[in-house]
Amino acid sequence: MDPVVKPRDDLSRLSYRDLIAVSSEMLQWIPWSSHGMTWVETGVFAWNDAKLKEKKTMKKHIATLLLALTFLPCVSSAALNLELTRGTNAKIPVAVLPFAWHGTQKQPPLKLSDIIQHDLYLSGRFQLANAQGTTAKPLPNKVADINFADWRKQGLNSLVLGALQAQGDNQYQVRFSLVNLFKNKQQIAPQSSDNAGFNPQNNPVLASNVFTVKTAQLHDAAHRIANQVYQQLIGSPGFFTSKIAYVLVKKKTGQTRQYSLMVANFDGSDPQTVLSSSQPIMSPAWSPDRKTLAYVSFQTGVPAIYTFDLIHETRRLIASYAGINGAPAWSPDGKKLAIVLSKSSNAKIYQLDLSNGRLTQLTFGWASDTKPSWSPDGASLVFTSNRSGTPQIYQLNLASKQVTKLSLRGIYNVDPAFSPDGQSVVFIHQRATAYDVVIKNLNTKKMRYLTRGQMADSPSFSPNGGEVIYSVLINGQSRLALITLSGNVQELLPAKSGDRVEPAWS
Amino acid sequence: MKHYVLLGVVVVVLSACAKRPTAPVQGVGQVVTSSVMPLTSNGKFALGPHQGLLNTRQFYFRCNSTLLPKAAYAALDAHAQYLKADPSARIELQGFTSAKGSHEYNITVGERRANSVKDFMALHGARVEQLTTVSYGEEQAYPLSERKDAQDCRVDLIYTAA
Repeated sequence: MDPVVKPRDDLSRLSYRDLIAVSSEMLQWIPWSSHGMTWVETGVFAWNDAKLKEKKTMKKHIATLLLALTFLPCVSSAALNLELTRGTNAKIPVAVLPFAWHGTQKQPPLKLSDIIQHDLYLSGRFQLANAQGTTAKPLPNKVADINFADWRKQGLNSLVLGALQAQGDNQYQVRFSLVNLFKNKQQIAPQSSDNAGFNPQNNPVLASNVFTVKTAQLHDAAHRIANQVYQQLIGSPGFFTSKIAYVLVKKKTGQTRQYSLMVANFDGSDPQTVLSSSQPIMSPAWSPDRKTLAYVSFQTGVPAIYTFDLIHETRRLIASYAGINGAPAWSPDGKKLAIVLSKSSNAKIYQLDLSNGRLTQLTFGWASDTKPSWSPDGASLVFTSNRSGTPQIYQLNLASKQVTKLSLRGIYNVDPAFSPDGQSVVFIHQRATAYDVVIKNLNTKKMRYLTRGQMADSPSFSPNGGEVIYSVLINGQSRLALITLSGNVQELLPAKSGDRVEPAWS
Repeated sequence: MKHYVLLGVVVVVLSACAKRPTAPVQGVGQVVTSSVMPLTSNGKFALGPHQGLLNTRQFYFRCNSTLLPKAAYAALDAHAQYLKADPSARIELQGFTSAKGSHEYNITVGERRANSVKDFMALHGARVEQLTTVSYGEEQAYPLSERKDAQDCRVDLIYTAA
């Protein structure tokens, strides 16, 4: 079946200001091929099914995911749900209905609707209704069965519905539709070739698709459906297929530990071990094309910077000078790494040209400089330095060589990261005994707390800049947490044993 | 801060001139810092001399400081004399921090601690090529919940050749 959705540019009937900003260009429909998936973000998909998969069986992944899902919030209440209410942005009211299941097993292998719902919830942009509480029973799983007026009465504006059908051989057909309840149901695009009188602008189906996936891709498929929904309703790409990298530290006998470089879905599901070592692993950083990770390993007893190509599973030694080799950060064009070396004095920031190996020192003086982060235009770097006596955040203009102090309050400001739009910088700010994530707007110069009274570390932006991931100490365990910039949604990612530190979001 | 370290070091060097021993010290066995634990001859401290002051291999700092504590001077001086007397001996100075604060910044804190020990030893007669440093920062620190921060704010002195 071909996608029935056509590009559209009329959202004027929706009163939410979030929707009004949508441009037709952003809504360009990209058809998925009927036999598989032609994803928009090819970089991510390319290595998702590449050899990265560990020796662990797929069953185990599913089991882990299912386990994780049992802890996921049912939107209104859950143990791990730290939802705050100080958000001011209007949320779009949406319901994700349970997908119909057609198969020999009693239960579907995965509750796709739960994953989609959770994704949308985490973005902080949607008010998710509990479909169980509605009067419409049985729940519709075809657009034709929807009573638009009934659902509108629930205060809803859009519905996501779909079905999952087993096709044998670990293969499933997934179908979904996103329906605008404020359109006229009678305007659904005709399935026949007779398109006379059909005006796509009036089509209540905003997005819809049918595709076939293997068991292992099911949960990726759910994230991709969430991306479609986000794209249609918000007007910018969803980030639900993005990945995070982090370091997992597990305590072994005595004081020995196992350090693992991990890659997982942004919600912490499907964690994959890239490599493990009994010696420290630090500072994972994604290349802009999301195919390579730079990181620091102490495996020889001293730190060295490596890159690991996730597609070809090849490792490359980048720097192993005397002293510190640390905190790699890719330039936006992917051609350079900003790195920290102490080969000639204290820690200094250098630029390494990956094509010719040329090393250029960028910061000077007696102080320790570390944790560089590039501005998206590549024209400047923010970093931590103790040049004023305490660690503070500075910005280096690469053309003028001018260094400006950005953090103006406190005696401990560390770990800066530039936002994808280049307008702000997040960092860790110590106040009393707390280490909180703060955001500084570089235009207004205003600083704002994203977290309050936490033990936070290593903040990193989501690809769309709407959220920040960081590590936080909870009951003696380092966990990963997400927070939206509006502060209206905050959630701990699922974690079993071990500490999860230094997250980086692709 | 480094200036203070140097100043401190210079003062110590001057005061140590008159009584500097010329051979590896046969120490008197006093405890140099309050939290020094007796070392067994296994693990990473196995190599090298263990008599008296030379058995002191861990040097504790105040946790918000990279300034070499005075309590470390005597034992570090003894190690420096040992290195001076045995040019083939090599040591690695490993800097550590507590788990508090930034992983990346703590790497630089651990290095400044290791460097303050290195500078002291170089000024006390060890050759620079005998001394290497590595900072582990907080990567091997106790969890903060165990409240053992003080044990993590230190430099370990490891003989890699003796």
